[in-house]
Amino acid sequence: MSGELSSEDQLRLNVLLTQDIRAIRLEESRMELLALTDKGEASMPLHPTCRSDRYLRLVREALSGHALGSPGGYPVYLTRWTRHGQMESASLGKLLLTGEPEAVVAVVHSPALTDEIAAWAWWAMPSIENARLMLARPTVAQGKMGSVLADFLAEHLPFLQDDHLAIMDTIAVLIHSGCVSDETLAGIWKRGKRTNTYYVPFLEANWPGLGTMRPARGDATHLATVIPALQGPDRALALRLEQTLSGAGQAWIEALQEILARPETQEVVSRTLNAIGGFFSPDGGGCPSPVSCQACCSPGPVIWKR
Amino acid sequence: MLQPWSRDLEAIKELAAVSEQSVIPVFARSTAIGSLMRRKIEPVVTPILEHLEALKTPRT
Repeated sequence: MSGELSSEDQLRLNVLLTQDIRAIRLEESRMELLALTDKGEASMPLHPTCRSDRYLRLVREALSGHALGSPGGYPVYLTRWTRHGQMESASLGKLLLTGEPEAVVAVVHSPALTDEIAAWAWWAMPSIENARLMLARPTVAQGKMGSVLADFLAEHLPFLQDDHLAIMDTIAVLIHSGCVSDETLAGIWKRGKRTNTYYVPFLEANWPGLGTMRPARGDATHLATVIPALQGPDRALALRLEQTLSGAGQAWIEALQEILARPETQEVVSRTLNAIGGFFSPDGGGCPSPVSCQACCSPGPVIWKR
Repeated sequence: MLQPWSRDLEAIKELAAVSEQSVIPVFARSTAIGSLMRRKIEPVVTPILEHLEALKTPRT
């Protein structure tokens, strides 16, 4: 068994690596190396001299040696560390030159991710999870990649099927990104009729679109006439009640009843209960992150601030 | 002045205290989902649904 790249591949790789490369992807089924350069996409067929999996490892080791100075290849066993967003290196883009999917995952989890690097990472590995993680970063959501990733997620949402946590996280990111139209969000909301998990992130975010869905409760007008005469804690409580009796509040409650009547998973229950506490508590509060995070299990985003 | 809405205000105060902490003792002992999970959390969910229903009922 050979322990080296074929001379043809070695030569081509050396020429390729002298160019200004943004990212490298290995198409394992076709035994092809694709590179994203400043001039566009370049492809290089591989000529294995041994078993294909062994040869791909040799290619990745060569790429890693060039990009990171790490001849043993990218340390794929660092999965837990990189998934907690610990990768803050200034040379984040170099990880995309290793041809290693795990390195792309490390990049999309990094807090140092920029819109430009997100575009390269997206080319290297376009997956639903990567799109969601990148769109959750404000720098990406507000950049050129924001609408690209949001459109992809909105289109691929039905493919998540029974992955309720992924459904909630994806919709939460779409709402918070501000990259999708109200019509698209309304379309996603309607899917809650069939799978009530779809409602949860809308309730967590107290989505403004709820305001037009239900009429206010019959006695809301009467309450509004009483509030001006109130002061102190009574007034604060009455204002919260006023929000509850409004059209948006009534739509919120109705959706909540549907979820609690038939929740599918434990995550749906936990996030719904946190949303209730956040909605009715006087100060709101909790984790501002649009996606669920391991470090924080407090209620969802701040809502109802007057 | 808020007398007509006393039931609503009581519901709001109760719901403000709701969080996943209420179901942690259940979820810590079981990985159930679907109908089995719904049966296990019924004692937690039923009072919440009652408060929500109260908030939909006009008082005056």
